[in-house]
Amino acid sequence: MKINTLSKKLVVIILFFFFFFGFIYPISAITLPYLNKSKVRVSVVPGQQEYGDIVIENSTPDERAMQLYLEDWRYLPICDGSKDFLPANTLANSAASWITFSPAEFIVPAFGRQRISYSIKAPANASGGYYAVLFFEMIAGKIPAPDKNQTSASVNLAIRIASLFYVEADGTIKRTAVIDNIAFKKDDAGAFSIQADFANTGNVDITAGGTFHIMDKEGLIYARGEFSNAYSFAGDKGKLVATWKNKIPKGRYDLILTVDLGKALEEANLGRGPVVTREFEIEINEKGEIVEFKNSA
Amino acid sequence: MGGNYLRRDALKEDLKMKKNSLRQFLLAGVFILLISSAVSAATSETLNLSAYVPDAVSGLTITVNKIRASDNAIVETGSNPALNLADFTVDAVNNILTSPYYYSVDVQVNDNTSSNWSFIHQVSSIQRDAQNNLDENISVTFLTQLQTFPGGNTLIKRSFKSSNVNLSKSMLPGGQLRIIYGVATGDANNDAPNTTPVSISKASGTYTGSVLLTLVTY
Repeated sequence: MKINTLSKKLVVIILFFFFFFGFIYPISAITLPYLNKSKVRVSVVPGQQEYGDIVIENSTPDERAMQLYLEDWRYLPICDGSKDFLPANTLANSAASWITFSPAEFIVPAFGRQRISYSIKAPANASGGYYAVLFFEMIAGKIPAPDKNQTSASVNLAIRIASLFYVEADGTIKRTAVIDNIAFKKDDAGAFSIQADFANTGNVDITAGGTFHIMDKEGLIYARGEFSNAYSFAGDKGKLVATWKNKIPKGRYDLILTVDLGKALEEANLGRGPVVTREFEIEINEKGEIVEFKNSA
Repeated sequence: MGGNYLRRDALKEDLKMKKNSLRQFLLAGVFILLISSAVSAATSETLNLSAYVPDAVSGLTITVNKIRASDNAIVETGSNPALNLADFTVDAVNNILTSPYYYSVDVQVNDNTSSNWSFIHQVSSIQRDAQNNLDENISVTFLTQLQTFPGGNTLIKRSFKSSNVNLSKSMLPGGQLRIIYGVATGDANNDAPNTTPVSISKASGTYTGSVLLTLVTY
C-alpha cells in the first residue's frame, strides 16, 4: 500500500515537471540567448574612443556555443526598415574596422550570461554616420558525413541574432531631409491616401515618421493618422505613406502634415530630432470626392 | 461468487477511502487559504516591488521536425538544426527520386517590445559540385504557424534557389513562422513554382547546402 502511494506521488511529481518544463523548454527546441542591446547608437568624437558592453543571456538549461563577427549593413531601397548585409568594410559608411570586441567565441552556460566588451575608435577625419552589425551566431551541430556511395542531400541551419551599431562622428552630424511631391488622393475603394517623397539630404541615418490631421476651419478634427516610418541612410530616398479609410463630409479643410526626422534619436533616448510641418487646403464635395488640394497660402 | 462480493466490497471501501482523502485534502486547502488570508489581512503592509524585464526582441526559438508526408505525422524532432533530405526513394513509374518525408522549421520570435523586426531567410546552394545542385528540386514554403502540419496560411512558396526572403513582424502574427522544405513531387498543386522533381539520372553523390536564419530589429 505504501509502495503504491509512493509510486503515485512519484508519477504526479514526474508529470508536474514534465508539464511545467515541457511548456517552457519544448524538447529539442533551440532557443537562442537574448541580447540586452539589439541596437547600439553612440556618438564618438573623431580621433577618440568609446567603450561599452553587450550582455547575452541564456534562459535555457542547455549551454550555447556562440561565435561573433562583424558585417556591414544598409537599408533596402524600399526604406521600410528591411536590411541588406554585406561583408565587413564593403560600404563607404562602414564602421566595422573601427570596432573591436571580445570575446569572439564563447559558451554561454545554462541559465548563464556572457558580457561582450566593445570599443569604437573613430578616425580623426570621420564625418557623419557610420554603421556595422555584430552578429551572434549559434554554433550548431552538423549532419554527420554521409556514406559516399549513396546519394544524399543535407542542409545545415545557421541561426543568428544581431546588434546593430550606429556610430555618429560627434560635432559633424547633419540631420536634414527634403519632403516634397505631397499628394492627397482617393482610391477606388474610397480610402484617402497621403503620400510624400522623402530624401535624406544629411550625412546620417534618419528614421522619419509623422502624423496627419484633417481639420475644418473651426479646428474640429475629421481625420487623423500616422505615416509609416521611412528608414534611410544619407542619400537614400523613400516614401511616406498614410491612409484614411473613413468618409470625410463635404467641406473645406486644412491638412497638416508633421514629419519627425528624429525618431531614431528618440528611440535611443538621445533627444529629439528636427520636425518638418507642411500645411495644405483641401475641399471635399458632397460625393466625398477631392475637388481641391493646394498648399496653404 | 463470495470472493467476487468480497472484492466488490473491498473496492467500495477503497473508493470510499479515496473520496474521504480527497475531501480532507480539499478541506485542508480551504483551511490553509482562509488562515493565510486572515493572517495577511491582519498583518498587511505595502511592499514596493520593482522588477526589470529586459527587452527581448532578440529572442528566437527554432524547432526542427521531420514529417512523414503520407499522414503529416512528426517522426523526429531534432535538437540538431540540420535537415537530412537524403531519404530518397525511386519512383520507377515517373523516373524520379521522391522523399516520403519533408522538414519543417518552426520559428518563434520572442518579442516583448513594440519594436519592429525582420526575419531573414538566406540560402546557400545545395550542391555536389559547380555543375550539380538541387536548388530547383526543393520547395520552400513559408507559413504562419499552426499546431497541426503542414498548418497555417501560406505566405510565400518558392524554389530553394529563390527562397531568400525578408519577413517583417507585421507579416508574422504572434511572431510565429513555419518554413517547410520538401523535395518536389511533380504535383503542381504541391510544389513551388519553378521546381522540378529530382530526375533518376541526377548525378549521385553528397549534396550539401545551408540556410542562414537572421533576426534583426528595425
